[in-house]
Amino acid sequence: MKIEIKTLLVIFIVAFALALGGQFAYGFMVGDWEIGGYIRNESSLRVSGDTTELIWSENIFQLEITHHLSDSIDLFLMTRAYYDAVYDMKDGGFLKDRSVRSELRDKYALHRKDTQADAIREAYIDFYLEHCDIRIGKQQVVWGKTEAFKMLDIINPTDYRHFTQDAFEDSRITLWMAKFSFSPFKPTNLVELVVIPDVEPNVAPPYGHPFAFRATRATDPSTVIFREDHKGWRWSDLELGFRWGQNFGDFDYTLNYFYHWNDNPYVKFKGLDFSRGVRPILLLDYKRMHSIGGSFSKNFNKLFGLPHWVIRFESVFKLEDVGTRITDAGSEPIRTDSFNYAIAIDHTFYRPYRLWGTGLSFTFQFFQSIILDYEHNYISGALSTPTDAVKVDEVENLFSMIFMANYLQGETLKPFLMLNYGDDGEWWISPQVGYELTEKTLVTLGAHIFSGHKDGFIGQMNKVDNVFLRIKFGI
Amino acid sequence: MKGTNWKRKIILTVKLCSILMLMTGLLSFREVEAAEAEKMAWGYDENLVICKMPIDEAERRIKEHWSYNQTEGKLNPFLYYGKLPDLDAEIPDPMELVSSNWYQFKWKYAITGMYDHEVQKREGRKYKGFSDVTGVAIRVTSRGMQRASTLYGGIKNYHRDGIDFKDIRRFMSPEDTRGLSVMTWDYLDKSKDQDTFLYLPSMRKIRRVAQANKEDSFGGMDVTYFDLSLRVPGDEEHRLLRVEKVTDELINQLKKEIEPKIPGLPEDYTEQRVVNYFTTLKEKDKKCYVIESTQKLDFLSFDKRVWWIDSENFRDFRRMFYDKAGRLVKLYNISFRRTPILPDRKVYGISEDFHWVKNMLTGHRTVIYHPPMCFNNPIPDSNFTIKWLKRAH
Repeated sequence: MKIEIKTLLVIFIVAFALALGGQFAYGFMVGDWEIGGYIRNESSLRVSGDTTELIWSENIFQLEITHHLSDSIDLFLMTRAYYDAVYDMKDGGFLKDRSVRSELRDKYALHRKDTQADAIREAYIDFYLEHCDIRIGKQQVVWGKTEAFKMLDIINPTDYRHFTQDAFEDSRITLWMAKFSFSPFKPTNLVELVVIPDVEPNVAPPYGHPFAFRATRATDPSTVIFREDHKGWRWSDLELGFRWGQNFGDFDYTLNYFYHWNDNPYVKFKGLDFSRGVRPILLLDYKRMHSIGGSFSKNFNKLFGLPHWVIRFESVFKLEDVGTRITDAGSEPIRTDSFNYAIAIDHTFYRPYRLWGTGLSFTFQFFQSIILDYEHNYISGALSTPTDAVKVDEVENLFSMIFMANYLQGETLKPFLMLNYGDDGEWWISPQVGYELTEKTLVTLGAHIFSGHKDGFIGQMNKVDNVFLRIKFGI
Repeated sequence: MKGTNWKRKIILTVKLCSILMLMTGLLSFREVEAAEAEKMAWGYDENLVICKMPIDEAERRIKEHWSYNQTEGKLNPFLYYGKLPDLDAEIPDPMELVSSNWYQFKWKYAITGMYDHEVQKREGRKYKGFSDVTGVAIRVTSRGMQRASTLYGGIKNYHRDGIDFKDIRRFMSPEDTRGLSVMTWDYLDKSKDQDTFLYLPSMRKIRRVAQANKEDSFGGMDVTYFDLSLRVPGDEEHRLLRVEKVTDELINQLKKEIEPKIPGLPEDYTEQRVVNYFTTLKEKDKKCYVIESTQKLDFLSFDKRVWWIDSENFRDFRRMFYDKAGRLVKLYNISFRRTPILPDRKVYGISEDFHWVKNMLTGHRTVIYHPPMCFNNPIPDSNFTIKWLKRAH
């Protein structure tokens, strides 16, 4: 048995015993220090396709330390020990290919910089000044109002190691940056300025990984050479974000602007390599783009005859985004513009107190993406293979419904159901149920079921239906 | 590349607007906050209308306008708002009694609630102005399973610009809600929904949520939003059943109700606090009004409630809820404590101490403990904003 497994086993046995014994609380304070965190194991079993196999067994020990340096200065560190035991536990399924196994283990078994398994997950200093809050360090900044899919949530890139199954808090790749927030004229106004010197792309799983995108899945790395230009950092590389917001009580809105690098590469053909047969050389380049957007949410006393509704909306113009088109000479990168928006409506159904303590929240969301300079030869870079180019539609639609016990639940049983439907006949259904075993122990059993054509964004995962079990101990 | 003129113009306009708004914002470090920094408080003007004034002036007016018995904490003037019922009348108007109770209840955090607690002192450093654990709530299922929640926060009464009060709470435990913060704006127009904003640590974003129903449980407790903040006198028809004093019989009844006691509670959290409070009421020979209130709203799980109002401070300390079949569905007992209502601790009133609630149909119980609190520590408006909500790690 590997040393990591032994260590984790010891940690879990001790933590479990302590958790059940109620000997430690969720976070505690010592002087000006505040310490919290959790130990979590999450294992997932692929149940579709030809094999039933374990596809991950993540063990995470997360420690969150806050030091209140003074009345107006806080230091915060979130550090994470990460170990995915699946790469040492089995020798079959998607890991049967030795060369793939080795590469995947290098990338995903342990913590790795600039992914969701980064050892320094967050580390920042907060200054609470009279007129301004400043947060400098590695952090997450979240824009937008919708859930399940990202639209205006564009500041931090994403780690797609589990497709988009992970909570965004986990899958966001944290960045070193400075955030300035202040409230001009009225406390209910908000101006936010984000300055990001740290530029990282999205992380997509490599060839051989169960959640690799279709294009990657079909491209054996031995048949192609990827290169990246590593240029020195310059001041002009800074990413800049700006947000203005106002809250009028039953209505609030934001206006957003982000001048940034595209999180996905602009792939250019750079020639052929003849060292081991004939292999194309592809250069991964990253381009600047502009995202201009806004959001609002509105509370309604009554809508459609039912009381207490909330409508949320967000939109973003993506200008100079990167895309791909197919020509007679093959595929080539392009710059493109799109308009994306999402509208969501929420309602909490009444449930008599004595039957069900917390009510049931229902959310319906509609996402639409429109390519403004659409041409019929545009294809999807993530879904197309060398032999099968997948054209994109000028307008893409996605519907999402979420049922859950409301956020202020406090119940020991926590049901959750998410249904997503893409207009090309794709489905993604995720039922989950959480149970609070003790005050400090939460057990969640759930599943992700994908359906649709293999060249669809959701459908490409139709062989990766999985059932997962998550055990989380608070410390 | 499709860099067209219109696109360049849009980008340039957005950039210019961003810079302009940023500069305007930076230059607007304003007087609003400066005013907040002054020692201001809410007090009563000549017409008994609540308004902002220097804290010394607020204190002077209290002492001037209200006969006040500091030793006994007889009246709770600073927390009282509205017309006093005619106590000498043989049969007081029940609606007046209920309205007085309601005003007391609504204005219980007359200025801004703060609590005097070790943990909160530390938290207060971090969240300027909110140095309190607002409550420790322990839920117990009929099978004895216990769950504890702790939270802190504060309330600021406005009574102006259409806003009644703003309330903010942050959960410290349990694990699945740690860091979850809730901000509520409540309006003077009670037909208007409350606006509620959640900061969700699991999403790192603020989410507006629809107002809870009156019947919704707060945080899985046996306390509903009706009990906490959404009740208005006009929801029910009120009838004065009798005027009585707390008797041994009522105390013995209470002792039976709270059995079996919740095991493992620290000394500060025990049900005995409610018994002690009832005993004190009896020893002081307090006169109480027993009101029966029948629901006008047909969707609540109870049809009527019978409740006891202290004739001196108009706070209710016992509620019994009945369904249409006449079954007792919920029991709710509250104890109060004498508490300083001004920071200098010279003026005292009463504040909630301990809640004991039981769902008689399921056996589920909740106890809520409020640490000692004091009032009138000005909290700036900026603490009731999205910016503050996002301070959570």
